[in-house]
Amino acid sequence: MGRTIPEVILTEIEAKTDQEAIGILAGCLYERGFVKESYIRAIQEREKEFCTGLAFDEMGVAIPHTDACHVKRNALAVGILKKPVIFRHMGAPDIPVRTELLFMMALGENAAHLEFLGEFLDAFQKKGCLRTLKAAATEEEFLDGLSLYLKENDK
Amino acid sequence: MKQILLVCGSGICTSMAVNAKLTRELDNRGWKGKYCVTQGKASDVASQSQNYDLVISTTVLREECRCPLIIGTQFLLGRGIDEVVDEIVAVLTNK
Repeated sequence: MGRTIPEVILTEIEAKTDQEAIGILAGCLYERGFVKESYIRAIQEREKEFCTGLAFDEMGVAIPHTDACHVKRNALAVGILKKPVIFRHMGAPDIPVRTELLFMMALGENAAHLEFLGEFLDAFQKKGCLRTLKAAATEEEFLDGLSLYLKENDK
Repeated sequence: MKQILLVCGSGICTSMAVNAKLTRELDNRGWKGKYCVTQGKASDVASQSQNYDLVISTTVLREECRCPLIIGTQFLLGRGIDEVVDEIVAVLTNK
């Protein structure tokens, strides 16, 4: 998995709930052959037990993921939500997080290169990063923005 | 040697992202070589926490934790890290 190349980028997701948003993006990973059908249900259930909203300064981001047994090939799927959806905060489920971006991980047994998560989270903390990513209208714009802020990490 | 159990839901994902930052922060404060971090799953806490000085979790634990517990999502957000490291150091110092 190249660290700057999400395998799936879905813009303008319309969803009313966290479960619906997760279902749409997970369904896309399934249609493209990265995960088994069981992944969809599993990642929705997982969110109920271990919620993954993170309230960054610029906007809320959720990072749903689930067990390796549902994954065929490692992938990262990004979803841009048309309107904010309420997720619950990781480690503090009572705190609602107005979420506008989803970073969904499909990680199999051999997913050794998890450093990318830390690098992404570092980038999200940078001023302008999440707003730039949210504003991307196309996959190319998204990838340009992402690689710009990942490079900033190295400075 | 202080033993820290670092857990998330899966035992690999967010705990790994926290691990690198936690290690850097503790080393910067002069704890290098004085602690050991083990990554685990949230479901390990009930059976294993008695063997540790501290559990740091990125998720809420339903299981009983038999040692001090600190929620460590600040490491993921990059905000409030000094404060949570203060808490961690206080636990490691007092034990």
